[in-house]
Amino acid sequence: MPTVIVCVKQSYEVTEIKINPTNNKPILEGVPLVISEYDKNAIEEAVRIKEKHGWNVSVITATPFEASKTVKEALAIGADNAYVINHKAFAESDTYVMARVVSEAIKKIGEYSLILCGEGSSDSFTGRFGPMVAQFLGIPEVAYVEELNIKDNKVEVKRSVEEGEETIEVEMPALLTVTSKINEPRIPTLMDILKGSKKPITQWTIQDLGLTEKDIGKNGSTTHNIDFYAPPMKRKNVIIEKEKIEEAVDELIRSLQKEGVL
Amino acid sequence: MPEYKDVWVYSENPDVRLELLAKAKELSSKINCGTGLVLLGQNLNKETEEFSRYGANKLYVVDNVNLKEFHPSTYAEALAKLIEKYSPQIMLIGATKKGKEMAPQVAVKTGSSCLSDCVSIDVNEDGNLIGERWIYGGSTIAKMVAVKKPQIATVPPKTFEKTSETTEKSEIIREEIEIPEPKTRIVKLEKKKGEKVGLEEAEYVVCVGRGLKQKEDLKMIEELANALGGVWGVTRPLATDLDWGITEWVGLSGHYVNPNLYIGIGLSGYIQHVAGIRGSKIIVAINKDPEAPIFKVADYGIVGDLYKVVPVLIEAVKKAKK
Repeated sequence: MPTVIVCVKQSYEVTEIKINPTNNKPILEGVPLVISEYDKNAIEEAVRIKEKHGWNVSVITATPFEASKTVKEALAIGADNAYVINHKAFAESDTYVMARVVSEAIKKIGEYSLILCGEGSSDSFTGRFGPMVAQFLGIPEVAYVEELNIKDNKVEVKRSVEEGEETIEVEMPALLTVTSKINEPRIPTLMDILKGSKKPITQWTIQDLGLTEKDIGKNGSTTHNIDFYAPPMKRKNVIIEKEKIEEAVDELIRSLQKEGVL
Repeated sequence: MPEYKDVWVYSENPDVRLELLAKAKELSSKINCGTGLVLLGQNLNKETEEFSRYGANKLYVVDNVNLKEFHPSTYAEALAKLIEKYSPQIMLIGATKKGKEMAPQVAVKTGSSCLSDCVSIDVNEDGNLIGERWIYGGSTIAKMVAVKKPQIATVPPKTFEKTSETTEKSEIIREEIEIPEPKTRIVKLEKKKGEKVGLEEAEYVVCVGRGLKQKEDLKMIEELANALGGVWGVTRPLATDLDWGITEWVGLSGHYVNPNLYIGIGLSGYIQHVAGIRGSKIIVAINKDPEAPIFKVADYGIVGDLYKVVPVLIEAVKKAKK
């Protein structure tokens, strides 16, 4: 039975991130960790492949945080089993390191036909992870997939790029990154959650993957964070208050003409 | 270890190419090196001639049948081979969808650092590339430094002003590179219809959110956009929560607009939407809720019912545009 592997990132719930007004820094303490938005679409799509073609669905996550909630959610949606790689140093690892760790784990899993991940993560959204994993594995990759159809040993996908809508055929094994347009992820039922809780979860250390401390964290990263800050939006904040709408609109038009934009 | 020098530019988009070349010139004078522009594709004679006139010191051309159409694997291979041979220190790549797909592959192939979607770039005192980008749904800037050379950064379109033509011609270096056939095949490309200006390019953008009650009322929004000579878009909640057949939105993971004038109507201004409108020169908000966060990021605001304000605004714009 062919396997589809879904790479899942635990991501900050970005709508819950507040900015500390005194130092303009984001407050991450207490912000819930969730399955990154588009990774949910990837899990859903994998489960649909399983339902249609009988494939096996494995999820894999590498994270500095406790991952059981994330993994159980993926298993409840319909994945068959999960692999978790935990390490504190992943908190200061860049995408290059995380893609390398996950690709080593995928090599250890061995057999697979398809790898799916979100087009980007909801918190940092670099979009680098998928293409990097594909490159580490030496397999073809297509990003921004909005529709996919398995055809024997190939998969046909649709995506939209600046030039228009492309239909692309890819030889498997391949890696695809998906957008939110590909499907509407299901919400697992209580029954699904119960079933999911009994599915196998495999824990791996970086040593299990043939990596050392030097390969991860700041040591292994090719980029380092210097600062995070929320720059205040410099806008005029003029509220036009007039008794009549006509007057307010006239005032707005005059202001826009003065700005040279009308 | 090779000695890394020069600042290179690649984008399949000719405008972005010139925008990045402008920045490359600035960076190269700072770190005292040259600039290189890379052209990849097939039948590039005309392009080679044209792009040798923009002041890049060197123009690297890979003209190859396997680069006829864009496949991330073949383009990444060509770029990686060039980088390995000539060891540029910095490589700026246009953050178009294709550029963003290819850059990470080039980074892995060449062991480079890769920064993404940089809204500003610079070099620090160690000569390392520094980039800033929006994260956390557009609420926060992350400032990062590339610590491994070569150093790649992708930069969104319209981040920098284009460089202009010069009298000095670039030295043209034609490179023969063996490029394997791609394992992907483009079956079909349905080109976007030419007449409509995209949201990214529009000078005027009108956006509407869940304050709009019914699909028919979009006509009113379209009329305002037409009166301005611009285009209209929607927020993500309107696109995804309602079954109006709209699949695209302005904001995070959607379109990022850069107009002279943006008008946000009946939308609250959540950070995810605001992330997509930061590039606007002037932001106008119309909302009946004076507490709506959109007013905090707007230059001008009218508190009022959109159904009353917009018709008046349409007429006023028509008059002003005459």
